[in-house]
Amino acid sequence: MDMRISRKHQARLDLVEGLKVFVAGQLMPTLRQEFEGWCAAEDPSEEQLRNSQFMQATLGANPLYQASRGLQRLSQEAMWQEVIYGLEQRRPDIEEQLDREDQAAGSLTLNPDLMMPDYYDNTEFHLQPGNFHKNTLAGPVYEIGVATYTMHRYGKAGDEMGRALVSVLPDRHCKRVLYMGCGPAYKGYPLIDALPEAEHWGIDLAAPMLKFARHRAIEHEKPMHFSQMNAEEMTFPDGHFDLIYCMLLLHEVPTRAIENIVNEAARVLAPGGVLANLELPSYASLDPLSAFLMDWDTEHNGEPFWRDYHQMDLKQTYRDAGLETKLTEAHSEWGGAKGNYMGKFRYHVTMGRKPEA
Amino acid sequence: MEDNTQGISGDYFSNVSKSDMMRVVLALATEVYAMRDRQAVLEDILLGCDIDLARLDEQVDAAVYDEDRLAERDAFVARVFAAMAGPAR
Repeated sequence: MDMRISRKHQARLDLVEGLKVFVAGQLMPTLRQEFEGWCAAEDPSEEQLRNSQFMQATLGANPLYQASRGLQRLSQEAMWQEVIYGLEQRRPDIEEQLDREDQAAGSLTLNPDLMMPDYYDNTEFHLQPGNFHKNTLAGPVYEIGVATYTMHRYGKAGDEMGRALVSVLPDRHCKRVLYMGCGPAYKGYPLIDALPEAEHWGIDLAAPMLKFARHRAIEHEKPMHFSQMNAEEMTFPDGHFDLIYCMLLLHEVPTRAIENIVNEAARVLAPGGVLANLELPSYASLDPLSAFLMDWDTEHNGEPFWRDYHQMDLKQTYRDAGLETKLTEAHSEWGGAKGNYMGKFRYHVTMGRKPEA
Repeated sequence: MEDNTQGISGDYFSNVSKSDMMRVVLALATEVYAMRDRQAVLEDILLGCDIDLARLDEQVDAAVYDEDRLAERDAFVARVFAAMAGPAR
């Protein structure tokens, strides 16, 4: 599928992305410089700097802070609007392509009776209108939108996170691999390339995402089985997978759902199998300004569970599910070479190994 | 009367109402709309002269993959939003 949109719409989207680049590259460094000057003069304690109320009182009225947050929010709204406008005129053609049956390797199994959890049904993640499940074009909208949202810093293939994850996976033969919350699944292509002998599965709540994932996987010759399923309650048998992974999934769900997902993953893992969760770095590992800015997304960027995720003890949740756990860091080309408002960063990967029987 | 117009760091618009600001935005929007209308007419005229306008509607990659468009975009954003990067205090 040609993912390009018409020049008129792309020009608008380019402008919106330019605004995001401006915020990250001009406003934020100036704000950081001012903030560091203020810290040098006032000498606040680490405890104060880690307190969001203190930080809000310190920065809330700052024109640079206000401009950066205001433009960040407005650019996010405008971005989705322009992507949707750009794709809308091609809707019949795209829908026809997504509905086309194909006998290529892999499969697609949808479950029209699957109930959407309330937290999912009532949220527009990253402010994407209609979320991932209420618009038949949600997959293409997501792919173009996220590329713009991240200022094209995940690489043209959009698979930078998958490559980061591959770089820290244990060297182990895998017969079956599961990608939970796979969405369009292209972030997982590096795992298919790294483990070509394995049978690869992807599950997601959203039918539009899975239809797009299937279409895209065929086009890119990435054999994968897709199934519409809730990761909290999977239909796979016990001990079915040797590797289960997710990327930027767990911060999108409530704490209770995280516990259910980890427990389910532990159930369907084979003895000796590994659960790997790749996420952006924890607040504690970032400087106070970066952590405060990251936390802003909780209320303003369709990330209602972001703060809870960073405050929970995920390693303990792994241990409670019977997994031997460790936290490791993975190189991020985006965070390492170019940075964003957080400055340089590395991904955090929480690994859990199911003990041998 | 207090002089709010002096000083490089002053807010020149502290006493201008938001309604007046919106009137300016609305006036700008009507001008943009008029330009779009004229452009549509111009394209009709060019088509009448058998000039191919397909390039205007072709599908293109993002500007990030085209150095010239990228430079143009970033310069435009920096110029329009310059005040945001060095706000009046």
